[in-house]
Order: sequence, then structure tokens, then C-alpha cells
Amino acid sequence: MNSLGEEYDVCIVGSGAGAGPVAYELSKAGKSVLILEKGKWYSEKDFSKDEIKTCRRDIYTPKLNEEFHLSERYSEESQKWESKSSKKFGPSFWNGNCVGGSTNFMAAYFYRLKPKDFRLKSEFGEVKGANVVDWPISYEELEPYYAKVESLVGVSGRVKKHPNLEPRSTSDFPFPPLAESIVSELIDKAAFDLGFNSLPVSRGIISKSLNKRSPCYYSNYCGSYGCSSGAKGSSRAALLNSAVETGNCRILTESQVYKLNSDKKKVTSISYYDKFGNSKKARAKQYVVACQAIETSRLLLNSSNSFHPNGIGNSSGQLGKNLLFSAGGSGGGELNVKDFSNEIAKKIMQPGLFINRGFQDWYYINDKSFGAKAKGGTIDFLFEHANPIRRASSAKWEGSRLLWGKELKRKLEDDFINKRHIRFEIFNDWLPTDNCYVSLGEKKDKWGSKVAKVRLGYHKHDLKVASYLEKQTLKIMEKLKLHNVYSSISPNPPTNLIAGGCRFGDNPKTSYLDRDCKAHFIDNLYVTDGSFMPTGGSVPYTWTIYANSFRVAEVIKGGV
Amino acid sequence: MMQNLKSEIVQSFIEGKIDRRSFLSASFKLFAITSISSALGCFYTLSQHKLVLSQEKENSLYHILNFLFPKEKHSPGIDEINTIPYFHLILIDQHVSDFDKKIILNGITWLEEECLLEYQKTFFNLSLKEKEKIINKVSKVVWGENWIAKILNFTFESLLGDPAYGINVNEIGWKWLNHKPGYPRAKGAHK
Ligand SMILES: Cc1cc2nc3c(=O)[nH]c(=O)nc-3n(C[C@H](O)[C@H](O)[C@H](O)COP(=O)(O)OP(=O)(O)OC[C@H]3O[C@@H](n4cnc5c(N)ncnc54)[C@H](O)[C@@H]3O)c2cc1C
Ligand code: SF4
Repeated sequence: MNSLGEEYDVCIVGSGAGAGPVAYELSKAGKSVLILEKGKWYSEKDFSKDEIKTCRRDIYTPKLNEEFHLSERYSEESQKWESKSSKKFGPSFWNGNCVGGSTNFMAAYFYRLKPKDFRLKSEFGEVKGANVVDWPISYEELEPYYAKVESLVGVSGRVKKHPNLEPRSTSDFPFPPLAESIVSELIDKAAFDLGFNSLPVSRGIISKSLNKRSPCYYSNYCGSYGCSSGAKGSSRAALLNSAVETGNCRILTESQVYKLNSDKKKVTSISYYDKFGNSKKARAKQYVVACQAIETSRLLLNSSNSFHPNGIGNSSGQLGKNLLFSAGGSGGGELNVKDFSNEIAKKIMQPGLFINRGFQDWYYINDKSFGAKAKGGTIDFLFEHANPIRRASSAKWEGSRLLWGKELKRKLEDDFINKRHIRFEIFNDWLPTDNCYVSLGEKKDKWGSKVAKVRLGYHKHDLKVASYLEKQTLKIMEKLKLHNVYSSISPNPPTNLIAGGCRFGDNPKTSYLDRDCKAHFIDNLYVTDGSFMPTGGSVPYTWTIYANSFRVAEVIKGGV
Repeated sequence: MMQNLKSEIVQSFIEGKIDRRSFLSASFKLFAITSISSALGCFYTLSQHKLVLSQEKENSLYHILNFLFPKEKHSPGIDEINTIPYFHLILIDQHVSDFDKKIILNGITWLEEECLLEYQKTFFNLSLKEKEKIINKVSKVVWGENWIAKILNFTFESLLGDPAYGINVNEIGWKWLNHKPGYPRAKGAHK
């Protein structure tokens, strides 16, 4: 079979973190791979630090009046689930729709899960009202793939021993840590005084060259921006370019997949609209869906037919269920240069360098004041994004009062010239519940497909854990003598950290995928984005998505 | 968090639960029903027209923004950063939602209506004190707060966006606030 011929060994929907490893491994192994990606193909030379284009317009995501999400929140006032559209004020769950997906725009704070995250139920027991389960695989099974991501995608960092450090098969990271700001030292000192372990945070960003990718040049505009050096470990820069170079991987851009066609046991073809709006079909031996959780569940639900009336392979009814986000919250404060000597102040204001400090002292909570032993989480410290327009937009508020005129101008001057904003982010488990899931809305997008309706219920325990972590964080903030400290623990889901919806497990009645991330009831359908996760751990997901996709790639390779 | 909270409030406005008329009345509740139809009516009328800045609205916006973001000896005003030409661009930008465009245009009309009602003068003809008073009043109701926030945000785009858009001329905004841009810079206005 010709690699660019009609029938492929593997057809992958999407090209982000879930897709890249499969495309890379299979094309390197001489298998023919077709990727169908709904967005365009940009490269390093197309990206710039244009805040208007990148952060304030829908250039890299679909137009919301054409493709939107519905979301439901519980209103205490009406005692009902109320629905909003992202056309108007409902959240949008698009995060980057182009070759490489959201990985082009991520900030790439990379954390592994820990062994206990794989057996949350066994370790911490049931939580009433939550559908907590153990994973069907262990940390030890995934560890070699975490290590593979470190060297192939490129993870920079430094191992520092601490009580909650996860076991590693290598002694340290293949890429040394990125350059750090003097603020990292201030945090280390504050932590030392408090008896906390300040940890260097690893990043999916290379600090020295790798193949054709140049190291990070500290552009100062990282999260939300495409990387112009290839340093950021996007699926495109790190994996897909090499996959395409083999001659075995073809990427069809602006190709909107709208249905997987199937008989009772197998996907038989995939239907998509090409860039001219023509309906086309593609065929392969194996099919992989990696559209990002929510869109993956939606596509599979939209792929119903007479064999599968409730969505392809969904006889368990599990498809779309137990959707996860990252629970927690965020906050920050300001360092005022007037509090420091000129020399230190200059260093504090130096753009580009990273803070890269985190805390995992409370990854497990063993504190009587909290209650029974419980899973805690991670605290990350970082600089506020450089984006000046966003910064001015926040500065126009004094509490809830709008500023204008000279008062506004003085505030802008003070904010930009004298202050450096430090942020923290708290990550803890978003417990899976019956009230957080994806279904199909009645409304259709511009392609004529039903849009995803996302119910955004949360478990109160998530807020309890987050508040506990917030308390610890505020001790650090106080020690740092930050001004105007603010903090918010909220049940609002971060729209860029999404997983679940197709949880994997050994029991076909309670999971959609098996332990190899193959649909239980369909012989040639795999899901390799974050949808497989039954619980999310207390860290951002991307390193785990990459690692798991490498693991599944080996299974698929064996099957074609 | 602040942004989320604001969105919730604005959502009520859009759904017709609250509208700008509420601030004309000491008792909003009495006017709630009529006001709903009036808000929807405004949106309906506008959707029949092209979303452009007429000469009259442009003049009005010019004076409003000059008040909200005044030129000073050491800091730029809207003329130096080309804010008004930029608003024309925003209104034809396919990546700015019609919804935002309507908020911008409706707000200008509504503010002028308030000026006429309160002082029988256009915004331009108000004294500085009167301008302060009316903006202050409008900023305390949902539509007004949302509208002022929106036009200020677009003004900030013209202050701190890349000069490739014809704004922030000679990097005057960046220089004023000592801001270092990132590289590579924008190659031109996005399409
Ligand atoms: C601003 C930002 C910052 C982030 N920071 C971090 C971080 O610091 N650390 C971290 O771990 N994670 C971070 N993330 C999250 C990270 O980007 C995601 O976890 C990761 O990209 C998920 O991979 P995925 O394969 O599920 O989805 P994506 O990478 O989004 O890929 C999905 C692809 O599928 C395509 N697609 C969808 N539907 C269809 C269809 N019907 N037909 C064809 N193609 C389709 C999409 O266009 C997209 O390209 C961040 C994300 C954003 C947006
Ligand atoms: S150069 Fe470095 S800081 Fe800039 S986008 Fe790339 S990885 Fe991020």
C-alpha cells in the first residue's frame, strides 16, 4: 500500500498532544498515516508577538457565531440548570485549532502525575457524590513514556529531591532548566523561612537545540502565543514535522471531520468537509480520535447510526460522562520596585526570565484541621503574562469602580513602571461527578452538526481542597511582602485544561475505552487525547496526554 | 475573577433582565417590563443597519474618548495613537463580533440621549463638570459600565498594540509606559 494512497494504516482526527505521538511513532515505523485537522498549518515564521491578533481576536480558533458551545450551570436562584451559548457570554472551549492544536499556545508547565493518582479510590476511599475510580494502569506502566516525552518532545528542568517526588527511571532532565528571574530566589528564601519545599518547575520547552528546533530565546510572550524558535514542545514542532519528513504522514488541513461511519464492530470510514466545503471520505485500518476532550465526545456522539443509536460504541452510556477540568483557583500580588534597591529592582523588572517555582508539600493532605487524609494539589508561581493591553484593561478597575481621565493615567503609569505582578495558580483534582458531562445540544454549527452541550457541575470537596491550598499559598505571599494580594477559589472550570468524557477501564459497563484506549465495543477505534483520564491528578495534563499517546501508539503499531 | 463577575452582569443585560433605562428611573422595578422591549427594540433596529461609525457618531465618540483618555503634556491622547481611525477598523473587522460592535454604537447613542435628557445639550457642549457627572452616572448602571469598559479596552489596543496596525504611532504608548514589545513583531494588521 502506498503511504499517500487511498487506504491508510491509521487515520487520526486532530493534530495536538493526543495525536502527535501516534503520528510520530507509526510513520517512523513505516506505516501510512493520515491526519485530518480542522485548522490551518502555521509554522514558526507565521507566529508573532501581536497581542491583538493572538489574544484578542479569534484568529486561531473558530468564529463563535459559526461554531459554538452550550454550557449549563446550576442556578441557585432558579434551582435549575441554565444554559448559555458561547456566542454570548457562555464559555468557549476552543483553545487552538491549527496543526499542533492547543500545544502551540500552551505555557508548557509540565508535571507528571504521581503513583497515588493512579489509584485514588484505593488510597483515599470514596467521596460521596463523586465517581472516583482507580486507573486500570499504574504509574510504573506510564513512567517509561514520561521519560520518552522528556527527551523527544523536550522537557527542561532539574530534579530536586522532596517527599512527594515521583519515581523516575532517569536521574535528571535531558534539558537543563530555563534561566530564572531573581524572583525565584525570593520565593526560595520565603519557602526556606517557612520550612516549605520550593521546587523547580519543569517546562515542555527546550533550553538547548534539538534537531531543527532552536532553544528558547526568552521572548517574554509565551503562554497563548505561538513559538517562533520551535523551543516550545508543540506537537507540530516536536513530532509532526519529523513524522511528515518520513514521507509516510500526510496532514490534510482545514478538514472538518463530522462523522465516523461504522458497522456493528468497526469504523468503516470517516466523513469530513474539505477546505472547499465538499464532503469527503477517508479510509484506514485503525482510527484515532484526538480532538481534545469535549470535541472528541461530541464527534463520537454525533457518529450514531442504526448499530449505535447513542453514539458510536456507546452501549454502556459512558460516552461524554465524567468530564474533568482542573479544579483550584488563582491569585496574585505585586512587587513594588520602590521597596528594593535600584540594582534589585532592575533585576525584578527584567523581562523574559521565568519564575518556574512550584510547591507540592500538600499534594497529599494529612492535617487534622482539614479532616480525613485527602488528596491535595500543586501550587505554581509565575509572572503575569506580559500582554500590555490586557494589563491596562485590568488596571482600569479600582476594586469594582471604573477609572478614567487623569486618575486612569496615573494608575497605568504606576502599574507599568513600578510594579511586577506575580501570580499563583492552584491545581487540584476536579472530582468526576454525574453533573459534569458532554451531551449534544439541539443547536447545530455551520457544518450542520449538533454542538456540544457541556454541563459544568462540580463537587464541593474540590473547593474545600482548593481553599486549604490557598491558605498555604497566602503564607508564602505574605512572606514575599507582596502588595494588593488577591485570590480566588472558584468552581469555574479553566477552559483550557480539559480531560475525561471517554474514561478508560477494565469494565466495559463503567468505561468507554479499555486499558489500551481502544473503544470497548469497536475493534479499530482509539482515543488518545485527555478524554481517557478517569481522574485528572492535581497538575496540568499535557505531559500525561503525550506520555499516554506514546503508550497507545505502541499498541496500535502492533495491530497494523 | 473580576471579568467573570462582569460577564454575569452583562449577561443579565443582554437577556433583557436589566437595561439601560433602569438608571433613568429611581425605581427600576417599576420600569422593568417596558424596558425589556425597549432594549430588544434597539438591537433589532441596529441589526437592520450596517455597523458603521457615522460622522455624527464619530464626532461624539471623539469627544467622549478625549474625556475618558485625555491628552497630557507627558502622556499621549487619542489623536497621537490614532484611536478614532482604529475604531473604524474595529467596526469592519470580521474577527470582532457584531455583538461587541453593537455595544460600542448603542452606547454612543444612549449616552447622547442621556445628555439631552439631563442637560438639553450634546456631550461635546457640556462643561467639564457636567461631563464628569454624566459619565459617573452612566458608569453606575450596567449598560454604561460595560460600554465604557469596552471602549476603553479598544482604546488600550490603540495605545499598546503594535504600530503595524497604524496605532501606537512611533511606539508612543510603549514609550510612555516603559513597555518592551516582544519579537518577532506583528507583520501588519491581522486579516
Ligand atoms: C493558553 C494555554 C495555556 C496552556 N498551558 C498549559 C500548561 O502550562 N501545561 C499543560 O500541561 N497544558 C497547558 N495547556 C493545555 C494543553 O494545550 C492541552 O492539554 C493539550 O493541547 C491537549 O491536547 P489535545 O490533543 O487533547 O488537544 P489539542 O492539542 O487542542 O488538539 C486537538 C486538535 O483537534 C482538532 N480538531 C478538533 N475537532 C476536530 C474535528 N472535528 N475535525 C478535525 N480536527 C479537529 C483541533 O483543531 C486541534 O488542533 C494550555 C492550553 C492553552 C490554550
Ligand atoms: S521562545 Fe521561549 S518564551 Fe518564547 S514562546 Fe518560545 S518557548 Fe516561550
